[in-house]
Amino acid sequence: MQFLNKLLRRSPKDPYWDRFINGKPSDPLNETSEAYRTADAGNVYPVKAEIPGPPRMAHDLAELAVFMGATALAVAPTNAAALLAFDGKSDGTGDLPFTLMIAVPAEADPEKSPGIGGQHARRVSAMVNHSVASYIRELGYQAIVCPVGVDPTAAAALARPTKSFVGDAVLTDLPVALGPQEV
Amino acid sequence: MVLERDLETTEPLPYLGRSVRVVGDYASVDAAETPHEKNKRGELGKPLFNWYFNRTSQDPLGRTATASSAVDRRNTIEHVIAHAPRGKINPDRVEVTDPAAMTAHIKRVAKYLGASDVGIVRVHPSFLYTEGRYPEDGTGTSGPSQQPATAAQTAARYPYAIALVHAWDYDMGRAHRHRIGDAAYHFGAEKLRATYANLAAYIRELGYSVATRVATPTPTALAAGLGEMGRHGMLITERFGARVHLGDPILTDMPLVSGEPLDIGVADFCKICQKCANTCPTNSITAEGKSVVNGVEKYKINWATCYRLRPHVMQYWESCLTCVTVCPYTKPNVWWRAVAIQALKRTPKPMRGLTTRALKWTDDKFWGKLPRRRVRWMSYDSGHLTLPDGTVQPVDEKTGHYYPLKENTRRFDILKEKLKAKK
Repeated sequence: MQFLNKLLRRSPKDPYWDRFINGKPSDPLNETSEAYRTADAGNVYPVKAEIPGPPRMAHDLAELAVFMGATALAVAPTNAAALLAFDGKSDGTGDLPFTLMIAVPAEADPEKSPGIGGQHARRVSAMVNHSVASYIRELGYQAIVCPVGVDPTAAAALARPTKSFVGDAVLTDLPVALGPQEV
Repeated sequence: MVLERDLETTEPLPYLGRSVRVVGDYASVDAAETPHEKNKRGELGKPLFNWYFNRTSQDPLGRTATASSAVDRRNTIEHVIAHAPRGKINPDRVEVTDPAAMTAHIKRVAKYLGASDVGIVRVHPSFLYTEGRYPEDGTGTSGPSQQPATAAQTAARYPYAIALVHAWDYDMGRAHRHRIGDAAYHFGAEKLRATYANLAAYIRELGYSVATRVATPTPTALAAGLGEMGRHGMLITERFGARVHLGDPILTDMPLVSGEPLDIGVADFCKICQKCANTCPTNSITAEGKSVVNGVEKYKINWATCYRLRPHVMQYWESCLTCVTVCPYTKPNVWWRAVAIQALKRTPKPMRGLTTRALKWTDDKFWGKLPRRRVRWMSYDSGHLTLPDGTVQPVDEKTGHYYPLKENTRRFDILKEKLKAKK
């Protein structure tokens, strides 16, 4: 039976699987995506690193994101209205003109599946965003993870080829080329 | 089978596979006596003490990859995971009527959450640290406050251990002794940490308790059938070889089914291969036979010389990993690798020497006696190395990504000694 399951690439009967994907945790703290998403941002490294040109830099960030578990990365201009609504500062986009949108694989849709398994894509997204933003800060540039910066049309295009999920956006002043990045 | 004197148990020590053998009295490892803990107390000297507590990486990615090299720890995943609040155990416990089904489920969940492989084993007190819990206050000491129970009591309370491995990227790992290899290694460790944390949270959500930082990873993994122990002292797994992180096993009171040690021919292969011993830059791996350490017959590693390398190279790279990279088992997880492992597994034990020699010859021929590989990733290039003064080392057989170490020149002496012994 095990061999047949493997051959047909089907999952064996698992009486607990649905609960893992769809069962809402009894204690919300057992689902850690919110803690990961709202984790403190570290300081910006005081010395700016020598960086390559914007196209190469964008490609580097895409490579890092894919290594951390993403499927794709795209850069868009920061949405002024969304950022203003988020932080209440009028000059937000001038400080952080670039928005990185990162798609991660999602077997289950985190919007519909509240279980620990269902929220896995949200956690991976938070981890990738945190790593990319941290790397930018260590390069000596500003970067914040922002829940409202993602342009829905661009995110939909980014997530289309596979089952994937686009979580928060990374806003930065690191000079990067606009558009989707091939890895 | 020998019983451990201080473990307050009558259970015999479990079988750990063919790569290690319990031959005498065995005492559990004292967590406070492990290398990092000794170093935290300053017992390994000032350079290593300063390396542990006061280093920061000169590389931006290095400062992000591991909290030990960070300028601001909040820029690391390790910090995020460590500071995420822990949920409570669900009072509405899911009853396990079929432990085999739950075992299969937990393995599937662990892989879904990011583990490369999963092993489950019944806990024996010898798998646990003697002082109860691995110290986590940074002092390197353990005391009554960190000793909730004896090893036997802990084993009775948490009868099963779940050990996970995370395989780091094969291609990036080939650029070891370089920032690229460091990234593969350190970020791999962080991913495994996240997987463990989320699996523990899920077990609590099912209504069962978990304990962490109490079990020694290697014996747990060997007994659980995740792999065998190689000459280099690392776990060698069936699918990924030695390029795996082991992490800190989870103990639980959930009813599960124990796995068994596996035989992938490591015991026979390591006897002949010796590639790691001949290439280790610090000669920390023995080229001789097994010896008995703490009642266990295994290849004895000189951890002190391996450990002492670190402050000398930290300006260039952080993790050596030469032994792991040169290990013939460490190859991409593809069909021809699976064929080689199967050939070794299916060869009758007395004939394995022949198979090993053939596979070793193939490995030397196609991958090289000292495999070198130029890897480009992000803006890094393992053929070039930026020195602390900003100058860039060009691609060179003698430097390249092996800078600043000279190669292990003693390996030729080792070979000569072996030839003499044969004559």
